[in-house]
Amino acid sequence: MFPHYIPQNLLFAELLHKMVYIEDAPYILFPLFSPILIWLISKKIFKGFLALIPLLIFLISPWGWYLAIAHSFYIFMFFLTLIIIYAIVLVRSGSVIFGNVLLVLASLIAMYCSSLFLVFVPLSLIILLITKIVSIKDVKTAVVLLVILTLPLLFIINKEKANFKNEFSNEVKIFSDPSLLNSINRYQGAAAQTGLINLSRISENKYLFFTEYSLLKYASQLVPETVFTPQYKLLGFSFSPPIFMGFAIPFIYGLYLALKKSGLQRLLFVSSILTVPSILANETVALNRLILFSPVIFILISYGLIVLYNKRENVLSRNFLILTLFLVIFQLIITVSDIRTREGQRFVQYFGNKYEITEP
Amino acid sequence: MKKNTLILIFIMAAVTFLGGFLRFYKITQNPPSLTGDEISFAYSAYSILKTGKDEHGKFLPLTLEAVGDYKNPLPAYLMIPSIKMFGLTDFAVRFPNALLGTVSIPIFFMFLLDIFKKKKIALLGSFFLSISAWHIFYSRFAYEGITAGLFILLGIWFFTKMLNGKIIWAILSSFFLTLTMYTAPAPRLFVPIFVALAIIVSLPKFKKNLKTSGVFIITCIVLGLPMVYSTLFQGSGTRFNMVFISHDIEFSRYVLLKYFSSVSDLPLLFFFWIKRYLSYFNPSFIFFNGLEATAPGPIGLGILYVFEIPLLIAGITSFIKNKIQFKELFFIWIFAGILPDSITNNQKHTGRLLYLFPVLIILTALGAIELYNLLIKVKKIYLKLTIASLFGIIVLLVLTHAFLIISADFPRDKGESFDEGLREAVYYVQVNRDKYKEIVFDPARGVAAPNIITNSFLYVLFYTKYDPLTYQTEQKITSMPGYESYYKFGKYTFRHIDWQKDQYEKDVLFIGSPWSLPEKDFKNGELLKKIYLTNGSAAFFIVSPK
Repeated sequence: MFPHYIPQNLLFAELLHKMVYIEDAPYILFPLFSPILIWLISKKIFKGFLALIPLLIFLISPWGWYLAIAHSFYIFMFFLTLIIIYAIVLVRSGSVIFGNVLLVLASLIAMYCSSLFLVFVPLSLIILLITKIVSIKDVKTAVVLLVILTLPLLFIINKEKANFKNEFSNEVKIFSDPSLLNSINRYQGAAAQTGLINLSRISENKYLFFTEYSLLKYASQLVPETVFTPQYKLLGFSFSPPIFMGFAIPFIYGLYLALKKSGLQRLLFVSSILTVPSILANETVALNRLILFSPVIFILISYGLIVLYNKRENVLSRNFLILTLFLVIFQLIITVSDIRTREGQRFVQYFGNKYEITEP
Repeated sequence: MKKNTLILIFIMAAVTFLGGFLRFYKITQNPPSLTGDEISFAYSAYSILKTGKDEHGKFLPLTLEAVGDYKNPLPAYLMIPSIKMFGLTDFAVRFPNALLGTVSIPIFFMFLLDIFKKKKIALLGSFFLSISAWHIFYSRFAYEGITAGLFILLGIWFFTKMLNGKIIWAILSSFFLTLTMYTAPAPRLFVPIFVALAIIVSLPKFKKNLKTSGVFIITCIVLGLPMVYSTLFQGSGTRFNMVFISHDIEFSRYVLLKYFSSVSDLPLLFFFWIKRYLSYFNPSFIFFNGLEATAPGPIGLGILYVFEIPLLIAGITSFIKNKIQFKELFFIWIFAGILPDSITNNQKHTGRLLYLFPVLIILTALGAIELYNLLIKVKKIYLKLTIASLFGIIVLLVLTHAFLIISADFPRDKGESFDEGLREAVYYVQVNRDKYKEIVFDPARGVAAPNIITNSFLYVLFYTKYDPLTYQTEQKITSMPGYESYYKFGKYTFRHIDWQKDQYEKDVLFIGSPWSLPEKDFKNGELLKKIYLTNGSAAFFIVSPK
């Protein structure tokens, strides 16, 4: 018996008062098609068999497997995001027509399936265009087609405003945390008692706190502890890390190398837009949504690993490489054994015997 | 003296004065009361001052025995001159720490000037230290982390100077580094690791100055021996066993699903420890609420201010990119510095990380300079002004929020953790004690539930200025049938109050929380005084049955 998320009705179906779930798709998409897409994307970055490294890291990481087994809706969205990323990579590398077709198809499906993606996809495209990572000239057709083909959905939304609002607030919960408003009230109350209410109104109001809170959430997505340790538990209970801790070494090294190159700095900054769905969740970090950002992490790890391997004559690089491999293999063995012996009991400890859990 | 030097001295004096003001202003009122630890150190200091022995009768102890714990001796010894000067008062207890916190500012300035040879970094770094909420917060009460932070800074500074070969620096470095180990528990692990790694990375220089290196190592061993002795034979090791990460509740309850018992549990413990270690880099801890100066919530105060986020990021980049003297020592400082706290079963504690302040502030100062250099490169003046004004506004807003937290929220939210109310209770007792044959304190307190156990006897000893010699020599009763905990000396008794039984005790004064002294059960005239917390909740009732 495996824990699984309560299936989420797709946006267009919800607006049409129908029921259309993506229930078993993650099972098929995750192990079959997503790896192919990761390999296709990394083929554009790394040469030859090196392109298999991100794929390998992806396949041995517990992150996707846990979410796929739990039938996470975001494994499906991850698949669509990978197609969009691949489409952009294609457009940038000159395959404009095929890239545009893929971009339109994946974006449309994503937007019709989720209210969050209805906002997130256009926002991402706008940022890509503003930062000139993609030229408007190359994706003009796709943009026009997207606008036209989204019109029916917008039309239904216009008719079903309340329904859409409800659907949207189910997916975007960043400001629904009452503790934030409570703390503002508490701070202002304390300031009022000490005669400092005016200062408090200026520096402890909801606009500032919401901004700070968003900043906190954004920063929390990007620190190594989030993806290399079970700080934010997979499925809300697991002790398996999303990615094995040993990979943190090449990740930090890859990040350091990437930050030194000004072209990659911009690309990295823009790619952090993939953390937006997780930022908009109720939790500080929602690992099921943050998986959309995982390709960036896999590529950085691979980059660091490749450079460490190329510099293996250097003692420090060789030691880091050995340490990485040792830690990954060691944790892989420990995690497999831990899953067999303790994960079931852990789940029961957190959720009882109810195997249906709500997706954050 | 050159004009530039005079200006520099003037600016540094102003920065130090600002830092001193922020650390000393209303120091006895905020935090609202002396904590159990402060009181414990203070009475030990008073006892040593008066009799040469601590309250347990030990002559010049190297380890201070506290309730169920052993404490490092240095904070108490540092209080002795202050108590001698100002008497046994709240101010005397807090004065040494606030002074050391203030003195840290010019010392940090000199350290930065010596390492970086740039006035801008030195001034900026010392300014950041003077307004650091983290440093101010812990300087305002007797917390050993401030002393440890200063001594580690001095020890490492002199270590860098020692590498150039002078013996005096070797002696000073080993003196301060070893002394830190008598100050707080965390440096006992940090200092040996730091010294070992620092020697490894500086091996060529170390070998070159063999005589100086030898003096350094021998001084460390000689000064450290008493501590090794006290750890092994006088109970200091007990604390380490009590707080080791294997006893962590989260680890046993949710990870291992049983108590840690064998070597086969080590792999999971190792990965749990890495998770704990990496959590020190959590932005929430560093920037938003690590200080825990208020009730739990997402936005509070962290080790650094929110406006320091871009400064820290730019500082890390600048630190990596640029050639900096003793860079490897800074790396060891930060990464080994987290280690001691990360292997304990307690929650992450910003106080136990205080000796890392120099590294973090160096990074923010480097970042500020890096960003300033970027800003002056902006050609459009309106853009330059907009960015600078926006950042200035953000800084002001964040500092205002910090000021409000420390001045208004912290005393309200944390009064109970600082044992607020006991001082007032003992003051009442002091005035009225002759009217009663016995005075009973209930050690359990708490507004939500009586789940905080206080060492109220120490407050009685401190605020009544109880003669240490009498206390050392008089008979004390430490147990009594029918009571889980019982302690009695003189006319003071510390035990659970059961009002159903105790309401018939005549000529006895009872002091307890509303949980043990229910107001509805009092007869007319029995309730003599109510003591409140800053947030308005009732902390103690003082009652005498009629």
